[in-house]
Amino acid sequence: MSISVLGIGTVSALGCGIDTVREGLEGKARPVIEEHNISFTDGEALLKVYKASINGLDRYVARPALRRIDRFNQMALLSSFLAIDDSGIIPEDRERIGIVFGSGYGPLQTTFSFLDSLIDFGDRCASPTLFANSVHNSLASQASILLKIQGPCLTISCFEQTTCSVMSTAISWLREGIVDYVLAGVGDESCDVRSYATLLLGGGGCSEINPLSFDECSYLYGEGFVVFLLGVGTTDRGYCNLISAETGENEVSGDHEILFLAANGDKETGRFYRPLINNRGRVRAYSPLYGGMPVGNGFDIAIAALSLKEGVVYPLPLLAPLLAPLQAPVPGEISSGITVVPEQIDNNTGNARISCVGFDGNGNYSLITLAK
Amino acid sequence: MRLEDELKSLIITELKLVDVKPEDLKDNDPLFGEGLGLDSLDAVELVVLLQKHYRIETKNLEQSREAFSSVKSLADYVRGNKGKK
Repeated sequence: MSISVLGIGTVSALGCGIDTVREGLEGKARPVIEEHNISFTDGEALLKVYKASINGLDRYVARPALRRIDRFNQMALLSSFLAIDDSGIIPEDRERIGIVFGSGYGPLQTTFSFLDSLIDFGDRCASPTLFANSVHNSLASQASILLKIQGPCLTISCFEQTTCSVMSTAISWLREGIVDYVLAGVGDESCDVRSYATLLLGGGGCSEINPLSFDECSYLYGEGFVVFLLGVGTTDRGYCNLISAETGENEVSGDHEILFLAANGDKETGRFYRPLINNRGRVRAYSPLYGGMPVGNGFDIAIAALSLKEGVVYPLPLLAPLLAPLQAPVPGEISSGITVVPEQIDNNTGNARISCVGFDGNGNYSLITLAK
Repeated sequence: MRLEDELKSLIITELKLVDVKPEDLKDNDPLFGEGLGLDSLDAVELVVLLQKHYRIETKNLEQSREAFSSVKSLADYVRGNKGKK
């Protein structure tokens, strides 16, 4: 049974919608990278953060209905609407659609606002709205309520393994016939505490992410959400097929025709990606477009699906031009020796396959494979 | 600033009311139902607002029902209870 990627919705530093991701890949758009000034007990610091914008949610939901939904949940909601729009499918039986969302850290901004209010004013001042949004499962439940979806509804949070868990859950639901469609999505958001944690780990201070330079930390953290509408079907529907989502330890075995690395400039996980540079097939890393986050491989899946649909493996994002005035991509070589010339792939049915790999700090990997 | 105006700004900010400005709110307009349209969850947020900004604990539900009926009644309630424990 084939599982198809039928539609994709994204909210990221590149903008809203899969077209903004394509523009980023083509060098026509740059991610918004803001400077955050954070203060803490020992002083203050400036660091760069990939900042997502949420535009157009009021096209789908009346503004008053959004007032109790925090920014992170709004990102998930908008991505869901965009994924359904992108698919062109209007599923009629809302009981046959499932939602499985994931986040590495959950709704951090609201969680810490809620905790701050408890610390400052005591539990008598616990805001029910803040509390409701601070619960991880609010992601899937808010989407379920506003999209009127009545199938199974689940939120998963397990750091770098989140995307893989979300995708494998979606595959199981579809293969077992529990639902006909699944909205599967992952995301993370920015907040001061995350900025501080990034600073402690040595990130945030560099000017750009250099994902394939494993000897130095060039980590900049990002935020965003990506949702896929998945369904049972054939490859002629939507983007491509979702073949598998699996986890393992330490070594990713075998050679892969095309391998997308979720490497994001973090030195700790970088050592696990290094051997994969020797993969016999083509290797890419796109984190400079969306920023570092535990669920960054969700955006790699979106890029893989786009690549398979269009029959193109997009070049590695040229790093310097992302932060400088916009320039057209120039074919050539970067330090790793990997070519940046755009390459065509044979996307006739059965001929192309892309694997997206992500590591956590302990060397556990997740491998998600898509094919056309 | 008048307490009534301060409360209007706080209600709009804390309850995240969209498309409502302080000047749109009249002192005697009802906050719930056909007035501003607040609901039971907003009532809890109002209790939190009073505790957070004025250190007023609201325990008597009947009393609060009356106090929360308009900005004017809320301001009177704050004046009458501020500083009490």
